[in-house]
Amino acid sequence: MNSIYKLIALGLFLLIIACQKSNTDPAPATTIYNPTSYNLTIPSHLGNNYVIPDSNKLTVEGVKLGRKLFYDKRLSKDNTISCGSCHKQQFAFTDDNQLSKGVGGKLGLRNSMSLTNLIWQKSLFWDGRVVGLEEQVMHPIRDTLEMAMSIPQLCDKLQGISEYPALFKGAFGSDRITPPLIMKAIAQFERTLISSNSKYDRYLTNGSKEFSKKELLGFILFNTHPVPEQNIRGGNCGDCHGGNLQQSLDFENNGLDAIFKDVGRGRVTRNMSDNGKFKVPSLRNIALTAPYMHDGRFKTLEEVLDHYNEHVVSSNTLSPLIAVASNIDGSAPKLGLTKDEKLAILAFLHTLTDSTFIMNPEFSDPNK
Amino acid sequence: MKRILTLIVLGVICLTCNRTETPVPKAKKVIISLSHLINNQILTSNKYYNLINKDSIRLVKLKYYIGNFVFHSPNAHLRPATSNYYLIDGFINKEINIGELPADNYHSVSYTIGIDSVTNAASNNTGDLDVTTNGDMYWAWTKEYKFLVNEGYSKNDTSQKENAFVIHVAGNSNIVRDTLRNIVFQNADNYHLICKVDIGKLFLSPNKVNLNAPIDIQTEAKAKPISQNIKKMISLY
Repeated sequence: MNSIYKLIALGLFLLIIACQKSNTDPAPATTIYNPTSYNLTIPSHLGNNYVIPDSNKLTVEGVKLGRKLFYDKRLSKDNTISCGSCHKQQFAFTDDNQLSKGVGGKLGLRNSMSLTNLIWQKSLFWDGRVVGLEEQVMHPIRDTLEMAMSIPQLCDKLQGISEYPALFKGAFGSDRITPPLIMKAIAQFERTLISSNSKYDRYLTNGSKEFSKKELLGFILFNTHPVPEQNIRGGNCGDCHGGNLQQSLDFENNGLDAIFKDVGRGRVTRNMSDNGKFKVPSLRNIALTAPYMHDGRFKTLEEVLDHYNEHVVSSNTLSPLIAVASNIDGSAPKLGLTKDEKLAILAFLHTLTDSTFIMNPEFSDPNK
Repeated sequence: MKRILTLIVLGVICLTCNRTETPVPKAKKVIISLSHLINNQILTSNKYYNLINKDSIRLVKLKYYIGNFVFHSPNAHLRPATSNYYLIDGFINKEINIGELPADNYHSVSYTIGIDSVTNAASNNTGDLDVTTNGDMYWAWTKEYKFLVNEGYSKNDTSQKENAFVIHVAGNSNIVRDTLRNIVFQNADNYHLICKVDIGKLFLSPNKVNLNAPIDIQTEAKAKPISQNIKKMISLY
């Protein structure tokens, strides 16, 4: 009789263990939530005027997850487009197409912006409609001309991909995939995209020996405002593209059109005085980020310089900085640079290329 | 019993001593409010305002550095500042909290518009002076701060043609130091001063700016008359 009880007890014990096994997901090692702080190196010459939200401190696990998501085409409706499709590392995280192709081959409305030194940005997109990187993440995912994915569907989809729940748990302590966690992860990766190792950066450290004569002349012209009555010649670029970020963080109308097909900043502020204004982009890696302007209308940097030199169009929102500038008295807004001066500025612009940035394996597609 | 008496005596002595100490003046917060106006109208961007001489202007940008506040009383000249310089955007009625001062009878306050020559020459300043994120307030070509940036469009009284103007004031010789006298604080709880900043004076007083043509003032020498006008633009309400 005793042995019968023993057998029943053993059977129950085995049953309990079996039940426990069947109710518990396999627990891979990565599901342990013990994130490691990510050591983000901030170059001193780019300054400390940036904010990383306390609610989304960078971790090794968070950045790794964000990078994976950034390059995952399954974030789009038809599995064809990832963030990296339109922000390609070899082009300093922009697109070499005038307008980027979204799902179903639909064309976007504006040229893809370079994703560089984002932690210093006060606003994002050409019209500055978003102020935080986390918020920015969902815009292209939802946009029907880009990734065209509904957010609830995206969460369900990622939840069903075996590798993601564990990665989210490792990064954020929860394997339940939610919109805020997707936003946090991609924003973490984007904050690591710092470019600060160009020839220009070496010039800041080592002085003018880093530059050729032509590059140095170009740098001086780039920064100088023309004052014809004092024979001071300048390219007038520094007011909007000065500082070590090579941008003012403002919105300006740079004289592309008299009538605005795309009103830009005006669409966000609903203020006509902002029509035709767009975010001043950074010129870091500018030689890699063709085509240029918000609509990608210029294929080359030469065309861009020609625009500022000869083809600025007046309108009532044209930046006064452009409206009054000329190397020839009374000729504003025609800048009046010589061919050699334009070539010198062009040479300087090429010193802003950071090849380590576009080759950095930590920024590349982890699935390749 | 003796011990108890001794303790009582000591306690009384302590209390007496406390009473005879000079009270430390209570520190009060110092707040400066700057209200930007043209012809007594609140300044907003891109709106045309008539100047006193009937010329009109619309501003697209107005920014300047103010700082180095020193409060004067019969007893002292004190700096309350937690930071030396503040970047002001003229389209925002800026209220700046600049630290604390001990209670006293302050009768005037000195301030600077611009940046002192030592700070002006440094490239590693932080906060509002960080040139990386405030590149529009820095002349990269001469490596110095713009003290005041005033950009926009104007119309002359007679011709209604619109002209752009760019007025950038920089250069150590153009720093403005001035004093507001007979100051009156808004309440007893803190040292709160309300100032009006008359932007019209930048164009008119004492040096009239000709608005009949585009204006491009972007050198230290050309900005000198404007720096004299800057001195007139701030007053007490």
